[in-house]
Parts: sequence; C-alpha cells; structure tokens
Amino acid sequence: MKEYDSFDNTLFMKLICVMAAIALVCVVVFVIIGAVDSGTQTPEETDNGYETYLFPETNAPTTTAAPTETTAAPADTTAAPDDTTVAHADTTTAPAETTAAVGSLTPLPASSVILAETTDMSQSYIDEIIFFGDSTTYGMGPYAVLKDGKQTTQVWTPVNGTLTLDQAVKKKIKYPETGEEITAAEAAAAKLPKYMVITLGVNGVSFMNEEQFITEYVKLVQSIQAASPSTKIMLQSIFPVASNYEKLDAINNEKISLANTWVLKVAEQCGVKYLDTASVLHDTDGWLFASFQNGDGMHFNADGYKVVLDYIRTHGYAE
Amino acid sequence: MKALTSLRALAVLLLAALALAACGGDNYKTDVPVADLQSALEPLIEHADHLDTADADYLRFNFAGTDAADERLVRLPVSGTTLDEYGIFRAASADGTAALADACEAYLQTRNDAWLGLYLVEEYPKLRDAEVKVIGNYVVYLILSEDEKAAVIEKIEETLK
Repeated sequence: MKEYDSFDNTLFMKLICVMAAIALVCVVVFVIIGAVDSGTQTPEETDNGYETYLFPETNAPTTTAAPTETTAAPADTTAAPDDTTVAHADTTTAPAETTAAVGSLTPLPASSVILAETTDMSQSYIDEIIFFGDSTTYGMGPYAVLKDGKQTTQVWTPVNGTLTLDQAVKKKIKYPETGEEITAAEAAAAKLPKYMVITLGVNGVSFMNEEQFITEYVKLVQSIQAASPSTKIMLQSIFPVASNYEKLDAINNEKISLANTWVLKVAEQCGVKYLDTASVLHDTDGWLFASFQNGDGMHFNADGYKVVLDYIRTHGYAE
Repeated sequence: MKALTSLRALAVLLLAALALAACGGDNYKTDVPVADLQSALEPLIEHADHLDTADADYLRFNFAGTDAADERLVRLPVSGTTLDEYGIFRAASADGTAALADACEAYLQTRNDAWLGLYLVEEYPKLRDAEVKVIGNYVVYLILSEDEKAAVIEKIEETLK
C-alpha cells in the first residue's frame, strides 16, 4: 500500500515544483524587463510600480526681481508734464541687436471699431473708466495717474498685478471697492461701470496662437458684457516693448503687433471698440519710447501713462 | 526526514507565492473616477480653495494629445497669490499613459518658458520643480510644494489600491 504521507513522489510535490519553476521564470523575466526599461526611460526612481518623470530644470529666472511693488513702483518722482500733449524724448532710438525692425511689424487694418480722434473728452471722462488688465495696467495705481492717486478704485488687476489671457475669465481680480478677490465679470456686475478699458495679451503673445488668443479674449469680453450689458467696453492695444526689454525672444514688437490685429478681431466680433494707443507709443523702429518706461522695457512710468490717458481722452467713446 | 521535506516544500511554496506576487506588477484600480481622487487629495493642498476647474477650451489648447483620455481634470489657481495647480488624466489602459505624460510635460515646459520672473517669485520653485507621475492608468502633474506633492502622491496611491 502506498504511503500517502511520503512527499517524495506525490503529485503534490510535483505541483509545488512546477509552481516554483514558473515563479522563477517570472522573476527572471521581471528583472530583465526592469533592466531594459530603466535604460530607455531613465526614471528618477522606481518605487511601488510607478515611474517618475522629473521635469527638467529649464529657464530659471535670470533676474531675482522683487515682487510687483518694486517693478511697478515709480522709478522716479520727477514731475510729469503739466500739459497733455504727446511728448517723446527720443525719436532716433536705435534698435537693439534683435528684431522689431519696422518691416517686421504687422500693420493694423482699417476697421470701423477703431476709435477715431475726437475732441478732448476731459478728465471727467477718464474718471468714469475702469481700467482692467495685467501688469501694464497695474502700474496706474502706484504711479497715481488716476483719480484718488494711489488709492484709486479704477484699476482692476489680480493681487499679484499680472494676468494672462488664457486664464482671464476665471482669474480673480482684487476688487478695489471691497478688497475681495472676485472675477472681472463679478466685479462688472457689482460696479456696472460706464466705461471699461481692457488691456490684455502681452503675457500671452509668447505662447498663444491666434485661435487660442481670440477664443479666450472673446469669452472674457462676453462674460463682462453679460454681467454689465450697458458698460461701454474698449479693448486697448497691447503696448510695445522697448529695446532694453530682457525677454525679447519671448515677447517682442513683432509678436505684439500681430497680436494687436487679433485684439481688433475680438473687438469686431464682440461689438466693442478698439483703442489704437500703441500708435503713439513707439518710435520709427517700433520700440516703445525709452522715456515712457520704468527701466525694464515693458512697464510704464508716469510719463508713459499720461500719454496713454491723453490718447484715450482724445479718442473718446461717443455716447 | 519527512518533516524536513515538508518544510522544504513549504519554503518553496512560499517562495513561489512571493515571486508570483512580485511578478503580478501594479495592482492599482483603473476605474476610480477622477472626481474621487480630487476629493481625496485636495484636503492636502493648502490653497485648494483658490483652485477652479479648467474649461474645455483650456484643455483643448494646452493639453493637445490628451483627448483619448477617459477622464481629464485640471485645477487652476484663480487667486493672484499662488501658483498651486494640478491635473489628473485617466487613460483607458496603461498603454495610453505615455502620451498623456508627454502632453503634461509639454504643458509644463510651455509654462516655464512663459515665466517672466517678475511676479510671485517665491512661488516659482513650484513651477520649476513641477512633476509628472504615472500611477497605474493615471497620469498626474503637480505644481505644488514639495511636501504637498509627496502627500498628494501618497494619497493617490492609497486611493487607487
């Protein structure tokens, strides 16, 4: 009679051996696969079965500029011109070694939505305008160029002073009436401003194509129109940059002039007006006049903002 | 002798079981809704109340190549005080994660290239050190602090097991 308690030649023992062999094969295969994968994917770590793709360091900021209050703060305290005539110090500014020659700029096509020159609408007109935008608008506060100076309630920008068009609909501004963070549409619904000048897009020209730019800008304008249908909206041209701007590879006047044609298309599509303020801000080579900026090549000083406001006053939105 | 043989057999059996478990690979769930992951991880993010969901246009323009994902969620910062942001993409199968990871990396590259270096400078390390991770069928990108990234990844893994 066979002794069933002997394991030497039972079926059970054979089964265990087969399982062990399969397991050994699996281990070997797994080790081989892991060696091959580590050679092609170079994961930083492999742990618990997932691969980590560490994002490589790219463009660390070359400047360690302080936050907005130093970039937008007045660079000087010298008196601004007393009159409102357009003044520019240098019309022969030589361009830097990069692009932005006149020939590479995209001209703005004619359009019925471009606000034409009018008589001076006066300061009371400016006082009724809400200025909504990015850092090129933010500086109007610190430079005290509007009613109530640095305590003006006419400037709508996010807390950090910057705004990119691709997130403009949902990004919250600091609503100056209450200090709370709300969207531009919510602010428009609360304030119901008579006029609004929107200046956006300079941050987006470095990475947005025409379709994305126009889609997002239209959405933004329409959200404000829905919130405050009676507000007369003016889309202001993106301002040119000066030859000393450090990131001309990303943002330059060639891209800006092209993007301004997109801004014009948005104005036409949404039934709002376009302010071609950029036309009085650049020299014959397309550069922002050096005397209008605060030193970084993009952001304005008090002189620059007064030229902007003068243009807005003399290209009024008729009732 | 008999006992020793039994012990040997048992040891081999244990070894086989362990080896098979190792060879079994990831055992992450593949059908956890992205919304469930969102609910699980957002309590770990300090500025979660400053996040809002990106719309279809944002996904279309910024995450081309992720259309094939079963689910997509991108949470963007709407406050001007933080860069905190993350996205979760669920692939139909593990084979689809590579394309999603590539799309996320491309997005982060664009964000870094567009960084002007003037605003929220103290937040920039989050963007610079942003990570893309593949966890089973899920691809996640994280623009968060180091501590929050670690906590979020751990929570996602835990939720998917």
